[in-house]
Amino acid sequence: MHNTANGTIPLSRRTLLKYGAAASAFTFAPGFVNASFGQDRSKTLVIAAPATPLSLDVENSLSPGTIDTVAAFYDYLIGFGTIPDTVDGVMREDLEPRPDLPGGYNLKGMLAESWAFAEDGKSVVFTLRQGVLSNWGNELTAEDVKYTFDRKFEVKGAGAFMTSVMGLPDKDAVKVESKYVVSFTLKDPNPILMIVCGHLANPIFDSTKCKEMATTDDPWARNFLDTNVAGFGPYALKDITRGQQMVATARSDYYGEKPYFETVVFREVPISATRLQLLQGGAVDIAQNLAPTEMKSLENSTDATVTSIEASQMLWIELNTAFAPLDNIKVRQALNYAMPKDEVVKTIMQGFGKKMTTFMPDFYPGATAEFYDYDYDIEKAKALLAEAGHADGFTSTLAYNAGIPFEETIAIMYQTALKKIGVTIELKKLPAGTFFDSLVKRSEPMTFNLDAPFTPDPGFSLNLYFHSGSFLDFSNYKNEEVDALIKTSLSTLVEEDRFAATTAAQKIINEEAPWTLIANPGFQLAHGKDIGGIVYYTSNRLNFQDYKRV
Amino acid sequence: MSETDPAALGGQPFANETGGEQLLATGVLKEFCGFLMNRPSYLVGYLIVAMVALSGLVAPLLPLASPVDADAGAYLVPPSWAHPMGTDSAGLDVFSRVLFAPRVDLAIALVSTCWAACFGSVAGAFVGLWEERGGIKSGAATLILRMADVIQAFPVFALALVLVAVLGQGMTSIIIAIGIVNLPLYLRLMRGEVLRIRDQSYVEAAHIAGAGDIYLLTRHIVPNAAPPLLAQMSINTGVAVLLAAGLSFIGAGVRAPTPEWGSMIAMGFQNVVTGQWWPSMFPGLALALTVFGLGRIGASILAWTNPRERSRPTRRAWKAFTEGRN
Repeated sequence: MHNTANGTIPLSRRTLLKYGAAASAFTFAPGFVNASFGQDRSKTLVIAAPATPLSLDVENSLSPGTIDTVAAFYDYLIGFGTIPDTVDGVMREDLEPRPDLPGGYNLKGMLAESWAFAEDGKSVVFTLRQGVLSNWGNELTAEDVKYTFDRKFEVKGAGAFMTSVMGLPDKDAVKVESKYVVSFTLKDPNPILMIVCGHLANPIFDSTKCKEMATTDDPWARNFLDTNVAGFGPYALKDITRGQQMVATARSDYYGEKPYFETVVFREVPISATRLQLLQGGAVDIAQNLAPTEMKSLENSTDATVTSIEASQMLWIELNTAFAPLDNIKVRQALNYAMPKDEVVKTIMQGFGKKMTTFMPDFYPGATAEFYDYDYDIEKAKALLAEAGHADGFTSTLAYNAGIPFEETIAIMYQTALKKIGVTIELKKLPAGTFFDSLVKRSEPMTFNLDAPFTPDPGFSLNLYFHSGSFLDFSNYKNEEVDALIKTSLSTLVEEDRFAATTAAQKIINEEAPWTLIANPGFQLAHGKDIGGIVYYTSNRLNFQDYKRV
Repeated sequence: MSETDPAALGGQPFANETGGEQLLATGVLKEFCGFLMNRPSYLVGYLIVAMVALSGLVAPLLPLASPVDADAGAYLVPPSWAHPMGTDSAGLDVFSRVLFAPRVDLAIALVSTCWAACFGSVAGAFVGLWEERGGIKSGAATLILRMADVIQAFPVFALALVLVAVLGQGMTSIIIAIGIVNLPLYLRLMRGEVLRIRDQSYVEAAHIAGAGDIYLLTRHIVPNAAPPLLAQMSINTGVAVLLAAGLSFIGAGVRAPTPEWGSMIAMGFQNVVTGQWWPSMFPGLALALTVFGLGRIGASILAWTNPRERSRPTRRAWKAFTEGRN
């Protein structure tokens, strides 16, 4: 080995091997992850996720990566109080209606210290916590709340839907009363105003930073918030490289309880089998979205486990009523009877989750399965098809998402079952982007859907999927009586009247079957056995600040 | 030079009389069979492909489970007497699907290869013949060559994927897509052969005697350019099988639950890590064997068309010869 006159090292096979070996050893040495972030591994949470967030701004995207990370950076005015889950060591939101409490539920203040409703229920005043700082060091004031809601009206993203559900008619409905007091004035009393305030898509922004980053072309700092954060949550963003990883660090100046994990590494690992192997090998603490067989394989693992929790997630098939013969109620009922739900849960889902018997998450207040009668019954399905004038069956198309492997296997199982009643369906596998496009455009007769209403309210849930004016009414379902009942449930404060309306609506929807019900897959978290502090949220998200090493 | 090589016959095309052609063909076939019998490494390719094709043909006649109807109760059942290759995650019988799959895989491969070979070689023949004719013919030849350059500039798989995305999912789209990506290969191959043959004295003589382009191509050039084309077709059929399986693997191929090896591997590969190897292992083996077989067929045709290789004694003959001498 010799150095040249100018001090550079000549590239020979020997030098290449030498430095290559040194680099490899450094890369694979134990503690590389810790060294690279300067953190203790025990205080670092590493998550293997299918994708990094598409955007960090909820107005731009509510993609899975965004859902899992946004609550780490932003806090909300209020949140649900928590109670123990039926699963040992797991907590969940207390969704039980509490008419005796302001807001009607067991709510806890986050950025709001207290709140008070007017007698007529048409306005609410929030008093904010004092001394709360954002990740940019700006103090929380009522101006931040005002800015957040003004932004929703102006940007017209997901926030437009939120303001309409909250019953806020315009920007003037949110008023700064003093430095730490803000009021919301509604057109009509709204029973779900408070719980919608805690919806994942309603975080409070640091208006000072956002205004600083705004430009003439981008007055609401959309570009900045796409890849940065300006919130009052427990974590600050250290780095995000889409397609690779996102790193968050705990804030020492956070007003609330300090999170256990000082660093969170949210790493993109697209193949679920790889995520499983990383978890089994201890390289990651949480592996998201594993296939049911992969989760089952962790049963005998000494290092990892799966926590399976009842959740708001639902899996169903949209029966687009704009396509004949799906416009016929009896045909839709027949299609429901032909779905082998029990077999799907038992085999394809490996017992994770349960068969779906309601048209909203069945543990939400007001959800009822009393009208459900769609267990697998081929004879009944045949009879209904004959009554509908389709004794010889018909041909249709079922679209499914290529990104969700178990949808294909369910589709094949369903196709076989439908053959028994003479119905031939062609399976259409669509890449995720195309799939969502066709879902939104309602361009296919039958389409899989995997979704959840994040706000645990029957009126909210039914409004989301079955109101003829909803942007998520992908089955083109229209029933004026159902529309009226949903409106009633969202505009009266009397508990009995609200639930009576949603029960009546569920009876009609169950009868008219705009969906083929399949299953509630539940919320499954595959994690190292040393990870605890799990809390379930109806938005089916991770919440880094809850987790700790046990 | 062999006796059947036109060049060895004084640069004359094959015999014109029907009886003579039949006699020649029978002789060639007999010689080719003898060639294969003496070279088992080539013969095995034919046997594999014949078996695979046969399985696809007779599968509907066999008492097999349906390859497209799921048995909801038979989820990832390991290989057993009831399911010799087990079942997949949709409850489909893997054995039945492996046997039915050649109907799709071989059909896609053969049809796409044939149409690419037909169009590619016709275009290549005209390009070769017209290249130096001047005027509009030269212009057309250059244009066709540049178009082939454009097609070949893209990675084969990426281009096929884009074409399937544009044309829509389905067997016809895959056939068209695979054909398009392979077409320039035949075009260039045939052009090269034409450039070699067109300067032969018998072609020039025919041209001077007033023979038109079509006559020259059909009577003199194409018959003499056929052997390398056939060898390329055989090799390409294997590549087409792989390409079709690759497209299905990433979800751009045939529609589920059509039995097709690529889609079967895709459906089963996620289960390998959890110990259920059979849904992807068996179609993978079938695919590998078929591609190997087609590769051996291509190699045999290449060897047959190469006079030195064809006349080279087999190992057994050489051993007998050397033992006899000793």
